[in-house]
This record gives sequence, structure tokens and C-alpha cells, in this order.
Amino acid sequence: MLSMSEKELIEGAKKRDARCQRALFDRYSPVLMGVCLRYCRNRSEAEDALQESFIRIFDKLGLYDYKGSFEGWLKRLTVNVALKAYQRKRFTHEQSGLEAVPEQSGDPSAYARLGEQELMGLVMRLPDGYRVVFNLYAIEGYSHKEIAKTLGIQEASSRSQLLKARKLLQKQIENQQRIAI
Amino acid sequence: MSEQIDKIFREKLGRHKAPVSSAPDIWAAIASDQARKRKRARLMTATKYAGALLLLLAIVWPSYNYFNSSIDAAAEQEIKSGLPAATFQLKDEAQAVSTPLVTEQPPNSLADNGDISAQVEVDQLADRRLTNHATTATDKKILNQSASSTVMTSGSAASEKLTEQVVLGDQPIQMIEESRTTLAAVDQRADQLPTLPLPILSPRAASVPAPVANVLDQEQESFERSKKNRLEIDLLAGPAYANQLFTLDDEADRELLNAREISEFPTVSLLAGVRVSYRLGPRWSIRTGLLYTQVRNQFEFEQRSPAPSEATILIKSSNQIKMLEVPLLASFTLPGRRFRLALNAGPVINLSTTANGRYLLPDLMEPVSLEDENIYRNNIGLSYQFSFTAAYDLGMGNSLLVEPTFKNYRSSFTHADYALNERYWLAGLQIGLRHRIR
Repeated sequence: MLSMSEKELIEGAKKRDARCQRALFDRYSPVLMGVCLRYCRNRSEAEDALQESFIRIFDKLGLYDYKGSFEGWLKRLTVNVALKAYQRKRFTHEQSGLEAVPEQSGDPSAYARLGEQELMGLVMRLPDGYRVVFNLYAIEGYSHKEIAKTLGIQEASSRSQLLKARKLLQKQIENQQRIAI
Repeated sequence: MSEQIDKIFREKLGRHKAPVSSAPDIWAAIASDQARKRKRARLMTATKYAGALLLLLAIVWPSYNYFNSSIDAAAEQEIKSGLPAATFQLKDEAQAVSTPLVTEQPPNSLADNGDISAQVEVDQLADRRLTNHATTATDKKILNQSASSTVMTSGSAASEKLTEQVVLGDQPIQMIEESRTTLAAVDQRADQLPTLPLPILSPRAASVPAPVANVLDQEQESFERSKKNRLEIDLLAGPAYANQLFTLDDEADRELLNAREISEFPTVSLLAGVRVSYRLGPRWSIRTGLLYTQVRNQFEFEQRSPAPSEATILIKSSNQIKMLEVPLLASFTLPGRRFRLALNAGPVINLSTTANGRYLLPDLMEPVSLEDENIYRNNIGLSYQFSFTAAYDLGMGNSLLVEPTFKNYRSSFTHADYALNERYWLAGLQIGLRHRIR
């Protein structure tokens, strides 16, 4: 099964062939788990989102027309599933006590020195609203207009949450550096 | 500066891979979902093909029957009106050409001169004319029964004589040539052959085979003459597919909706009932009776036992919603001889509804009993039914029925205070028997 090309796997999975579906799951679940972890509060929620994403992927696979990267298509679908899960939870406004945090985002070199796991840890510790907006803006490349439309919020709210996410990340970096010293 | 930070995150986390610790469990849940969908897709495909086949039969067979009965009806009409009366003229012509003693025959009648070849030609001509005139099924049937015997007898006798002459070598070639020449002349004169008028209608009409009779007229007459034969009793039963549809009023209940959608899927439902039809006329009937409908869904949930064992237990339950209903259907029957198609439509009144089984409560993540929770209404009011009845006459007032049925339950099966609205539509195929009460 591993010798099969990606296109053969996709075609097989489109016909709901269980072996091809399993092969796609094995191949892409780590990447999509990475996406889910960025949007969810913990690993358990991320695994739920991953499961729902693959169910959605196999249902919608017939719509994939080989235009653009397959991995990119999978990620977009996963992000949408994770966002729906986030919207279902209906979190109230989170109080993060960031008002005292200075506005500058800090030295980029401090972030550059951090590894993937540490950066992931920083993102996962962000409150839900900030984390979602930061992920969409900074990593997925959405505009504030798109974020506002996707999440059903004002563009100003999106900007505000992004700013607060950056402040919180800076605060976390400073704390880590302080501990290291 | 902020953009540089975003870039660092994008580069490092954009393609970040994370191990999936419980991949086997996740895959098991996905595979189970896909297996259910494959099964559902197969069921839907089979239902579609069966429906298409029935629809095709429902269109083709009655059309075929109707076409045939229309031909017979047209023939009957011709017999009654006397125009063009082809059949009886042909019989007379056949008699005229095969018998030398024909009144009002021209003096140079070929039948009188004893010329064998001419006699053969006339017989052949009669045959030809009979064939040309026998354009309808009725003509052919009548010819087979009465006229053809005369023609064939004389024709075959003459042929034997001709064959004898040819074999004996009595100027056979010359005779054939003469025959051809004469044939052309006879063909012209044949148009002027006397035809007998249609004297009496009734004896001839009485000789018309039964299938020729116009089905529509028979029905009409039977209704006018008698109040009998108006009641029919149907016994029907068959499988059905019940499509479950959840909707919610409050988005906060989305988890419950998801839990129920994922844990419940349709299996084969049942339809059965007894129905009485009262025929208002040859075409229209009203149908009512008592219907039993059983909507079935399979509930499946993988429950993990508490630590330390953490074994997975698959909990299954057959959820059933049982209904007693009274249909009030108007029915229109399309014409046919042995095979008839009726279109039925109307409301169905619910008498009682009961439900048993389990469903998943997402807060507890464990199944609960439908009876204990009492979420279903005892009466769901009106639904609407549409069906085709294909009836094949077996004789003795009995018919075999095949009835594709569609029912739509517009109102929710659940109480108004329950978080979800649960509606159904149902497509089934019933098979049964009909008996006409005499």
C-alpha cells in the first residue's frame, strides 16, 4: 500500500476503499494533528478534532480536483473543522490580564531560538479566542476581514485579539527567559 | 517586528507534525463511520435501482396494455358503426371469389368460366385483399375464426389443380404468362367486386372475441348497472427506508445533535396494513384502513470501561418507533386489461406512537433509554403519503399488488421541550393481495 502513489490513494479513498483511506490517515494524521493542536486547548480535544476532520475529509474527498496541493486542501478542511468545534464551545470573553503588558512584541531573535515544540507550547497556552485568531492570521495567512467573516466577529475584534495574543506570547517568552536566567 | 515574529511561527509551526498517540482508536472510529456510510450508500443505491425499475415497469406495462386495448376499442367501434366494415366485406369478398355463384357479378366473371388459372388468381387476389385489409388485430382474429377457412380451402384446392397442370406439362409456361396478364386485369376489376352491406350488427358483434370488447365501456356499464364490485380489500406489507433528520433550535445543543447523528443510523423499517377501497367510478377510488409502521434505527456506541482496564465495549440497540395510522387516500386508476396502475395520495392520521431503544447523551457520554427519557410524542398528527399501486389481475377477483410508497412526516416526533426536532421521511416497497368483494 505504501508503494501506491498519492493519486492512487486519493482515487481509492474516493471510492471509499478502506485500505486507501487507512493509508491516507497514516500518511497525513501527524501533519493534521499539528494543525488541530494549534486550534484546540489540549491533546484530547485535538484528537477529537482530528477524528472529525478525517470523517469530513473522506466525505468531501470527491470534491478534490487535484488543483493545488492535497496537503493544503486537507489542512484547510481541518482548520474549518477545528474552527467549528471552537465555535460550538461558545467561550465567553476571556480575561487574560494583559492590560499591563507592554505593546511591543519583543525581540524576534528570542522566538527564533525556540524550537517547534516550545513554540507550539506557547501557542497552546494562549486563551482560545487569541489562539484561533493568531493561528489564522500568523500561520494560515488569513486577513482580518476573512477572520471576521469566518468567526462571525468584527474586524476590529480580530485585530484586537491578535494584538493581545502577541502581547501574551511576549509575556510568556519573558517569563521563560527570566526562569532560564 | 510583529511580521517577523509571525513569520517565525509560520515557518516553524506551518509544517509541524505531532504524533497521534491514540491513532488506532481514532482510526477505529473513522472506519466504523465509513463502514456505516458504505452500508447506507449501498442501501440507497439498491433502493434507487429498485425504484427506477418499478417506475419503468409502471410506465411501460400500462402503456403497452393501454395501446392494445385502444386498438381493440377502435376495432369494436368500427364494428358498431359499420365503417369501414372491412372485416365483413372481406368475408363477403372471400365468399364471392371462391364461390362461382355470385350475384351481381359481371358477365365476364372469371369465376364462371371454369378457368383454373383464373380461379387461382382470384383466390390469390382474395388472399391479398384479405391481408391488405386485415390491418388490425381484431380483423386478423375474425379472419382466423371464420373467413380464412373459406379462402384457404378454395385457394389450396386451386393451387393443387394448377400444380397438377404444371407437372403434366400442359403448356405450363404459357399458362403462367396468361395468368400474370389476367391477374392484372382481375386486380383492376377486383376493386369493383360487389360487397354485401352489413346486415345485422348484433349477431356479428356477438361473435367478437371477448378481448376485443372495450374495457372502458364494460367498466362504465358495470358501474351503471350494479352497485356491486365497488369494494376492494388490500393486504400489504414490505420493507422501507426511513430517513432520520435532526434539527435544533438552539446552537448550544449542537453536541447532542452530533452525538445522535453519529451513533444512530437507519436499518430496514417495516410497513404493513389492511386497506379497504371504495370505487367511486371506473377511475376514482377512496382508500382507507389501518397501517402499522415501524421505523428502525441501529444505535451503536463504543463505551470505554473505567481505568485500569479501559477496554472498549460496543453497545448496540435496535431503536424502534412503532405507529398505528389511518390513511385517507384518493386514488386514480389508469386503464389496463390485466395490469393496472393507480396513483394514490392523501393524508395519514396517526393514532398512536411508541418508541423504545437507546440514544447517546453527550454530557454523560453514555447511552440512555428512550422510554425513560420520554422524549417522543404519543401522537405525531398528520403525515402525507404518495404511492403507486401496480395491480396484476390473477382472476377470481384477486390481484397481486406492488406498491412503492413515500411518506413524509412533517411534524417532529419529539416533544417541543426536547432539544432536538426529529423528523422522518420514509420510502418503501409493499407487496400484497387485493380481493374484490362481490
